[in-house]
Amino acid sequence: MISHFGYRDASGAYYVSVDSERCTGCGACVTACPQQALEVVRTMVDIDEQDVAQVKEPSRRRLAEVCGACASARRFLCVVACAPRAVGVQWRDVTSE
Amino acid sequence: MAVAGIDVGARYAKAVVLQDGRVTASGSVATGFDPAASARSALDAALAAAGLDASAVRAVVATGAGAEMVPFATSRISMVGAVARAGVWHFPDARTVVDVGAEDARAAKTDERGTLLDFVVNDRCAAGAGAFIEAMTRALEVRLDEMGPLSLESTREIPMNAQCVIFGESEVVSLIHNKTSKADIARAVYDAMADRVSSMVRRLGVNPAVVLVGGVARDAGFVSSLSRRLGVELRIPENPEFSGAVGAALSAPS
Amino acid sequence: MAEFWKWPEYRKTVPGKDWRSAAVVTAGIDVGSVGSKAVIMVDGEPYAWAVRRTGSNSPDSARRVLDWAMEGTGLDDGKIHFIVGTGYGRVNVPMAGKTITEIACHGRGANFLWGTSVRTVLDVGGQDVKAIRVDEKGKIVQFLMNDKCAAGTGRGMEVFADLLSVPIEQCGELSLSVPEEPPPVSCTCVVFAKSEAVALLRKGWSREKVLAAYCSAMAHRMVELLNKVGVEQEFVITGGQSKNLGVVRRVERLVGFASLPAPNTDEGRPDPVFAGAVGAALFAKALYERGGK
Repeated sequence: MISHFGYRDASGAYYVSVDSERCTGCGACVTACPQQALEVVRTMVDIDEQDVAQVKEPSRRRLAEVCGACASARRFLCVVACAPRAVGVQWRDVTSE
Repeated sequence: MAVAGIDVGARYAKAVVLQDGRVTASGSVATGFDPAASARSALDAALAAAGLDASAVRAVVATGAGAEMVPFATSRISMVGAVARAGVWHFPDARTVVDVGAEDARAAKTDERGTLLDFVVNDRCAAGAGAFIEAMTRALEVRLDEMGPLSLESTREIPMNAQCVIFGESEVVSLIHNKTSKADIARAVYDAMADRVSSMVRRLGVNPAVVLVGGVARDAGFVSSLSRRLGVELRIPENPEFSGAVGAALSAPS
Repeated sequence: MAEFWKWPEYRKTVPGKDWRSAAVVTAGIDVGSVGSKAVIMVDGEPYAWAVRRTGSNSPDSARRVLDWAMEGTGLDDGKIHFIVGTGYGRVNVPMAGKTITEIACHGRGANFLWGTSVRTVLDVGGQDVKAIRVDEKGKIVQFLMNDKCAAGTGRGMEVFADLLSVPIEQCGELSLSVPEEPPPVSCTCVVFAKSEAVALLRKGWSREKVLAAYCSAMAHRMVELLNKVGVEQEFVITGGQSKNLGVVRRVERLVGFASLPAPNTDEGRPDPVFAGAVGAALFAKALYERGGK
């Protein structure tokens, strides 16, 4: 299952997405994030329990602020750190147009 | 000869007269339903205050949301360009100018002449502009001018989860029901605004010399939160709500 | 103030069914921010259900709604083989053997209520909008929730209804009564849309036309969210806003196909508001059969 955390508002679309089928719960993304915005949580996604990475609840509505530094550098450290490529980022910010 | 700058904002049309490199007069009129008429009135008020006739003004530069609706403007510039010019004119060592208006906000990165190098604008989400603060004052049942001093009495930093004016109002109401002090709530409102505005600024790169303009710059509560978030002492000109008009006047072609 | 689409509180027991002859009796309890729902299933078929307002105390809500669902049936907790809790207050279902994410339960429940052909669920609640892709088993393939911005939520619609002095439940129909579809309001931000609406009214637009323009903007926003996960038939819309035909019809127009209508509740199936609780009760059966406890 792919969970998209974030939002689209009139200024753009900002999502950090985690694919639970690729995620091993290793926590590399948690360590890599300079804003400590990620966490690994034991979740019952279906009837099976799994350790999956997710964006922390308070950060989900503030992704434009939280991920701003990585966006400026055009390098999302969580994506870079994830070996199984379970983490993806969509960043479309139209305010500078 | 004099030049004039007019900033037609969502709430007010503001005009300034520039003579010999100084702002000699200003005028402000509520925009209402007729921006062109308000712009005219604001300019007339400024001219009257300067003791000048309209013929003494060689250029009228318009800016702001209603710039297109000023038929007597001799030229127009973008708001972000205007505040960039004004910010550096007031504070020559500044290289970042932040403007927070009633319905929009912008941040500009400039060179030493106030020329725009890069910028970020938010004109789509009310939570990043003065409208957010105003709505929260209604939810808190305090006056806008009471909100700042109230927030400075806060003893506790609490997060605000809502990132939207509409949800923010509900959150303030439930914070009140949970017996959170109004001072702490007021501070949380400013912190949340400052969070959004500072992230806009940080996209341009951090710079210690930051100018804050726009009506919200008069709000001590917001200034305190934004300074804290950016980790700098903000430079604020006198009459910060006129910076758009000042920048427009400064941009008059010579 | 957070009350939106006031659900009546009610309970039902399916006539002609008896839990005493069942192999497995399970229950699902979904504690939402506005309403709490309980569904009791007998061998995987709905048997009894109830919906009540969630009070300020959610462990209490779970207890009260389960008790009401069991009322008159002769059941008690001890006779239920497995209980699964879910929802906004899912951690506050003390009688549950396990708690499962509300999304997983919602998907599973939609699959049960509408059938195995469901692939996309748009859930429009009072304070959030969710876009869900499921497979033929009701397992979640993709999920997205937007709770940052009021635009598109019931709350956003409520603000507009207040502005125009139209009862919220009439907004949809009224918006569809326009002779010609106007362009959508330009800003989805509810605050700016309100200013735009005031200007339009002053220009002489009727309330229906302004409502149509706003519902259109809402529909565009919902479709933008849906496009993030992709929209595939069959498509269903759940949540309070599913009753707002002004938005539903416009969403359907934009995606190019109709959503499935609400399933027939006469045949012993609960209303879609119970989708989460249904899914939870089904998961409870699966967990019990796998030997969980």
